[in-house]
Amino acid sequence: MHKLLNSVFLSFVCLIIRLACGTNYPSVGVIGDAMYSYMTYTGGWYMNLNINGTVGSQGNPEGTLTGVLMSASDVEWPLEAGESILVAGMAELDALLLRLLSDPVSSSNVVGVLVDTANSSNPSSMSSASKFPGAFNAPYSNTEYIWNPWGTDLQRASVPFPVIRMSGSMSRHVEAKLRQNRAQNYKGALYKADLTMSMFAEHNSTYCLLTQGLGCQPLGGFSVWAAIPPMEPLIPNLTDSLALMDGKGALVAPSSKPITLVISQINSVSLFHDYTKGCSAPLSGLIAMLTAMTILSLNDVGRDYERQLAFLAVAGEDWDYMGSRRLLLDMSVLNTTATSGLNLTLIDQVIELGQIGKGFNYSAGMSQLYVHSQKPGKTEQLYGDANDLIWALMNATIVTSEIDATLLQADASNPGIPPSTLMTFLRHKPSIQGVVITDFDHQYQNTYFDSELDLPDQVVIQAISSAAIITARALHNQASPRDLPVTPLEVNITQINHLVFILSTCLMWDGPQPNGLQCDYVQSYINVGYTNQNAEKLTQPFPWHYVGIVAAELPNPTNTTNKREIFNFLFNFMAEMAASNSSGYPCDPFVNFCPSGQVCTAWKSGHNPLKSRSSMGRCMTTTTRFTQATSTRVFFVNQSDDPVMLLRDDFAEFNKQYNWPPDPLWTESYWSAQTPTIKVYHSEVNFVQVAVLMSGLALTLGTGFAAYYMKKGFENSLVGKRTQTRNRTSRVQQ
Amino acid sequence: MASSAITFFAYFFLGIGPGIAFFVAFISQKSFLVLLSFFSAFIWLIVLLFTSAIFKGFLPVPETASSYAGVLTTSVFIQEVVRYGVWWMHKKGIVILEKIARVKGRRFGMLDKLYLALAWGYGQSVCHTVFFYLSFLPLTTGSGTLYLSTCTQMSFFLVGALYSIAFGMLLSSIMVVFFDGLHTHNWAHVAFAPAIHLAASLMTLINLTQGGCVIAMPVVLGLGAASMVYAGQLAWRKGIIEALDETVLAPLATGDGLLEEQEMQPPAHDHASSGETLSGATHQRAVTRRVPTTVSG
Repeated sequence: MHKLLNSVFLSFVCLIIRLACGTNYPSVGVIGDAMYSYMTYTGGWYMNLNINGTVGSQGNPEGTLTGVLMSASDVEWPLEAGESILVAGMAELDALLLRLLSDPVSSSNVVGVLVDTANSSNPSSMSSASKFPGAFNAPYSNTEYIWNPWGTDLQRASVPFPVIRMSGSMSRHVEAKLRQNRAQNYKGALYKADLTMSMFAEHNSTYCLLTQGLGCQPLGGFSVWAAIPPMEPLIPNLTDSLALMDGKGALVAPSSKPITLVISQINSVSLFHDYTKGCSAPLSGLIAMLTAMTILSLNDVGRDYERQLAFLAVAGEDWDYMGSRRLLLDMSVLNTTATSGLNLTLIDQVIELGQIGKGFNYSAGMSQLYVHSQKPGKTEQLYGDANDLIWALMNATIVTSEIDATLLQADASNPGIPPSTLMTFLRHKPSIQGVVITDFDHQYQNTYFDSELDLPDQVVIQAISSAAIITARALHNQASPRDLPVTPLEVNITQINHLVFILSTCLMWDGPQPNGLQCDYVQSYINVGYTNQNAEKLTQPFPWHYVGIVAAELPNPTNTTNKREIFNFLFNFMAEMAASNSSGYPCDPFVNFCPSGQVCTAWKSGHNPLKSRSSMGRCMTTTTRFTQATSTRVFFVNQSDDPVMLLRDDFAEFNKQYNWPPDPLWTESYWSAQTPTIKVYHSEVNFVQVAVLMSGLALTLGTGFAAYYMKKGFENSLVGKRTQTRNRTSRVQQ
Repeated sequence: MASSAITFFAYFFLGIGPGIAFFVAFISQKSFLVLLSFFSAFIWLIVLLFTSAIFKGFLPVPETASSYAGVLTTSVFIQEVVRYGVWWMHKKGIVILEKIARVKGRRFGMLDKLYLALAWGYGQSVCHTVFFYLSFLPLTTGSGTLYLSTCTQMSFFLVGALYSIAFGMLLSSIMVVFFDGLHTHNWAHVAFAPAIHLAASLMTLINLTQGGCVIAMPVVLGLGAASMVYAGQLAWRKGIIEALDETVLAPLATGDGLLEEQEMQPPAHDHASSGETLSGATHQRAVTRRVPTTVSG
């Protein structure tokens, strides 16, 4: 009742207010809403740290920053005065940031930078990576080579003001305010904004991890690898729950089969982490690898293979090859359960599927891919001769009639392989015959490498299908027994294109169903329950293209709990495609474990031990493992069932042996919920405020005095008149 | 932040300060007037609630000047009907007060009636200020302000503050004039209240046009000031006449009505009983009584 009265009353009050003031607001609260427009959590250029310092942008660690909204295009450089919040479209953002990085005078007068995403004009190129991403890892000395001509290396820069990406609706709102500020020539009552983007971490990653407590968290995720055919377990028919929980069932029996490893990457990065897309780099390669596995699985091959095939989806490679560096430490020094079977001494071939999304020659109307290999070298180390692999790939291309595709050998003038995980493997084992399949020859075709514009429209499905078919055929050819004629792989091109299309919709697109991780296909493997609301109020799976922060590894490397959904999906998908058969026993990651040599797949309740018939997983005979992809210094130990993070520093020998630079120990700063926040409002000129205050005080005092003196005057006049009258009266009486 | 505090106090003093100063100078001196103005504010609150309940069915009204005019006219009409009811309560109250005055041996004069009318009017203006201005004043505690596209010259809050002043002056004054009109059967004065109220309300419709606030604001402020001046001079005139009348019958200190809690000399009996008549009659009598003195003087 009270509420009803309130609303009845308020609506009337507001009607009157609106008449009195000429507004169109239906309630007092709405007037408040009209004064301030807010935007929370659309992504800022968050702070990352390594052992040397910070990258990214930082707001006021104590609270908010206030400045006048100003269009970056209206700035007369250098910006010499004022506390300005510069607003730039996507197309001008990189130039603006580069300018501010090189211009300390202007930079000191900038309070923040807002990115207008409503402006539809995209830059022709945008890349936050350097011109040679990860050059330190190159197996050749020409680290000046330009693979990525559009690289700005902004992702490794640091600015002292917040850089915040606005949602589309906020952008349009701010655009209107900017027009007004511009019309007033940035004088008078202007639109201002309060920016909140406090990054908690300070100094560097060791400081924020060890001294600050909750300052930051290491970056990290999980790489997933799977073997075709499945490897033999070390302890067959192990069913003891405790031993299985401890990961004993994941140990693999020694083997002598040489291993061909297929690699693709999972993550990408951009300035605004959560808006990373990474469609061409690296998802096109990842999807091609998944599809190649599917082709092999559909043909039910592997039983008679003389080679062991292994497929690796590696996470976190954008952070100085964090994922592969850790994997090789685990493989060669720590011999973890998770890498049991992935024996580096047996790995002699590596095929990496790099960015292939643009691998389509429109004039020829066919897929066009390039195969890169490391030249064996003359005076330096002798790298493995990849001609055998290249021959197999070329041959596979020739026999592929389902789809028009060409595979070209990359130009010999290239200094070597392009940036890839293969570089890490060659660092550890130069004799590996390694190739990288890409859509480019001398330099990236993708002008949006490591930016949020690396969108699905940068990707041609046919290129992915081609790469998948060629790789599958080449692998089949390499692994099949040499002394017998090779059974050709059957490929149903419609089915394959369909799969590539579905995987692209699920992995490349964001957003609510049916796109993104919530698509039916992914949901048939895992339960995608962890969602959030984006700035446009759309519920979507948590952003995952950026690697994110580390989670503790579990002793059993096939346990799907405590892992983010993308890693779980990859695990389940790869487990199914690499499985030789399904035993079909119901299982879960808590009590009902699968026996050794098998993996529990398609468990659909995440962390929730509650199970129903439909959410139970099924045991499959497959060798599929999670391995930790984080810094080589980050480890977890179990203390009374709680994983506690340790920073180890005892791999100097390993680093020295393989000539690794010190581990950068990449971390991400903590920040409070609702970061970043933008609050836009019209700000009165100080002079006007003081003038109103003075007039208010003057009017109040004036009214008081006037009333007082009027009363006095009235009384005086009365007294006067009375005296007069009394005198007259007395005179009359006289 | 300091600037937010400045904004809040600036608009507080501008929109409400004069009303408070007026209250301190005129109303707060007499506790009965304080109570009466609170009672009046309460009555008007109920009237506004009632009005809004009626409009509940029609809101939101179409955004046209004519439909707004309809709402305003209806609202003013209801308030003016209630004003007549208030007059009725005022009249009843006066009878009681005069009886009390007689029993206590005090005097209840024209000046007191003017004060009562002022308290009624002040209550109405307080009610309007509280609900049409104070209700959104807390919004000024933030760092932002609000300018409407139709009025880029003044902020929303400045407009609100100036209207608070204008309607404060207007509503306090027209009650005095209205009561006087009914007292003296001066129909021009009786019509003055609804006419000015409606005129001022309809003037606000000009705000809906681009830049209209620049025209509407001075006009409404002017109407408020004019009503105040008119009521002021009316009160001054009547007050003095009545007081002079008093001096004829009972020469007393000024401003010492019933509402001044001060022992009075026993008033002249014939005048005290004349309280039941309209002050116009008193006025006429005072005039007639004064005639001989003037003549003789």
